[in-house]
Amino acid sequence: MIGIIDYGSGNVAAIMNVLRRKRIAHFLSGKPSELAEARSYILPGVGAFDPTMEALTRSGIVAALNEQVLEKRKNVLGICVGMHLLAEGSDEGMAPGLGWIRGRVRRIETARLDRPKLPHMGWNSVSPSGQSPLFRGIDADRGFYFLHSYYFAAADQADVAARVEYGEAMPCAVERGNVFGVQFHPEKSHSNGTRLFENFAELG
Amino acid sequence: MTDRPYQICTNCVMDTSDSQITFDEHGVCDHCRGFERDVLPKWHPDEQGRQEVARTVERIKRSGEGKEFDSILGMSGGLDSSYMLHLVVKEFGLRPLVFHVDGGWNSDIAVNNIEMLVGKLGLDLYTEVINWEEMRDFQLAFFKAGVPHLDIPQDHAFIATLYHFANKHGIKYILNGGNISTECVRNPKEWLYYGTDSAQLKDIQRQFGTRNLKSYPFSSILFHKVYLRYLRGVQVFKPLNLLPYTKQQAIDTLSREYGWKAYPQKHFESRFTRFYEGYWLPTRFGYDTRRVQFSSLILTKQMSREDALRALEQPAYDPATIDDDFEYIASKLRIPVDELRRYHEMPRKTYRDYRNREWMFDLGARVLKAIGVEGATKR
Repeated sequence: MIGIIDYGSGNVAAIMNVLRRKRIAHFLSGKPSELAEARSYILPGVGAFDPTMEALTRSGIVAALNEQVLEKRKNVLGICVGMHLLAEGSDEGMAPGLGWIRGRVRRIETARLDRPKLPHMGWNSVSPSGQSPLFRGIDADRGFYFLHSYYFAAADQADVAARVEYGEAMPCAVERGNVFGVQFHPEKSHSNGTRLFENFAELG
Repeated sequence: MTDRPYQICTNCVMDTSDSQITFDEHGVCDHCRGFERDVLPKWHPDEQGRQEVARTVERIKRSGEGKEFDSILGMSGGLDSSYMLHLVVKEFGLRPLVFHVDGGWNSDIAVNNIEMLVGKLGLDLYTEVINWEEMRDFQLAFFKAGVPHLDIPQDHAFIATLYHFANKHGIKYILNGGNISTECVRNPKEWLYYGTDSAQLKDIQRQFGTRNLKSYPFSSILFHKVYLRYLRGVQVFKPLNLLPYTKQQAIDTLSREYGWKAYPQKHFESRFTRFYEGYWLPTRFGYDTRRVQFSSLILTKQMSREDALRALEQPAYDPATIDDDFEYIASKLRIPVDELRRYHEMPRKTYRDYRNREWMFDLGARVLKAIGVEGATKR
C-alpha cells in the first residue's frame, strides 16, 4: 500500500484518481500511526514551502517519516513542493526542509530566460540522466506537465535523475537511494505520468 | 463569399463579411437594432443591478455553507475572467473553485496573469491539463476539415471541464464572465459555430482524426443544459452585467492591484487563438473578429466608430512576426510549415459541410431568448 501523505494542502484527488484507475493500492492519511503501515509514500504538494513544512511538523508527520524513510528505508516520492521538501531549505521560505537529499530550492533565474516568464507552466520534455527506474518506458520527448517557479538545485549532481530545459537546464527529478522527487506533476501528465506512478509502485 | 455588394453598418463596423447581416433604411445593421430592442431594455448596471447582485451573492453564500466552495469560476487569464475573479473574491467574498484548462497554448502573459491573481488572492488553482497528443490530433482534424471554427477543440474542452467540475463537486453556481459591455455583438454562427455541438465535433474527428479521443473532455448539451440545469439545479451567474463594467476600468484595476498585463487583443491569452483570430480567420475567410469586438464597444460607448475604422485598417496580426508564428504553430502541431500553409489555401468549408445539430441549437437559443434568459442570439 502506498500511503499518500495528507496534511490538508495540495490537490490529492488527481493523484488518487490515477492510482485508482491503475489499481495501485493506496490510502490517504495524515496520522503518523496509520502512515506507519504503508509500504511506501507519496508526498504531494501544492502551495508554499513554509506553510507546508509547518503543517507536516505540527502533525508529527516529519518525525514519523524520518523513521520510516531514513531508518526503515521505505520509498518516498515527493511531487512538486513535496519534492522541494526533500531539500535542506528553500529560497521560498525560512523553514528547514527534510534534508533527505542535499541541496537547496532556488527560484528560476529569470534574467537568463529568453522568455522571462514565471511560472514555468505547461508541457515540457525531460532528459533522464541515468538509469532511474522511475523513467522506465517514459517518452521523454513528450515529457511532463510543469507548474512551478522554484527548482531543486541538488548539491550532488549524482542525485539528479532528470533535467528540464526552461531558459537553462535544471533538475526536474532527484533520486538518492529510496528517496525520489519530481518537479513536474505526474498526476496531470497523462500516459507518462501514469507510467511513472506504476514504476514507483513496482519499486515496492 | 457571396455576390452581395459590400456594405458596412452606419452605426457600428459590422459589414457584409457577415453574410447574414441585414440593414434597415438608415443603413443600420440588425446587430445594432437587436441590441437596442432586446438587450438595452434589460441591461441595468446600476442600482437595480446592484440589488440583484446582493441578493444573488447572498444565495450563493448560503448554498455553500459548510462546503469547500460555493461556486465555480473558469480562469483563462483573459480580461473578463480575471476581473470577475477579483470582483467575486475581493468585493463579494465568494469562495469559488478556480480552475484553469491548459490546452497547451497558454501565452506567457496569460500564465503570469493567472499566477499573479491567484497568488495575491491566496486561492488554490485547479489545473486541468488536456492530453496534448489528443488535443493536437483534434485541432489538426479541424484544420484538415477546412472549416473556420478551428478554436472549438480549445473551447469545448473548457466548457466540458467546467461542467464536469461543477457536477463532481456538487457546485450549484457557475460564475460566468460573459458580458454585454464588451461582447454584446456576437460572432456570427458562420464564423464561430457552436462549440458544444458534439455531432459536429465527432464527425470531424471521425473523418480527419487519427486516434480516439479517450481522455479529451466531452460534454453534451443534454448533460449541461438539461441535466445540470434542470435536474441538478445548477445556475449561471453573470455578475459583469449587473455592475458598471468597462474594458478600461477593468484593465486599470487589475494592473494596479495585481500587476496584471493587458493583451493586444481580446482572446489573445492563447497563442493559438492569437494566430487563429489574428491571422487565419481574416486572411483565409475574411472574418475579422475585431469587427465584432469593436462593434460591441461602440454600442456600449467605449469606442468611437472612427477609431474602430482606423484600427481595422491595420491587420490584426503583426506582419513582421507572422512567419515565426507559422513556424511555432506548425512545430507545436508537429507538421511541416508547408502543410499548414496548404490548409490555409484549401477550399473553404463551413459547419454545414459536416454533421450538425444546428436546428436544435437554434431552437434552444430562440427559446432562451423568448423567455428572456438571453438577449442577443447567435445567428
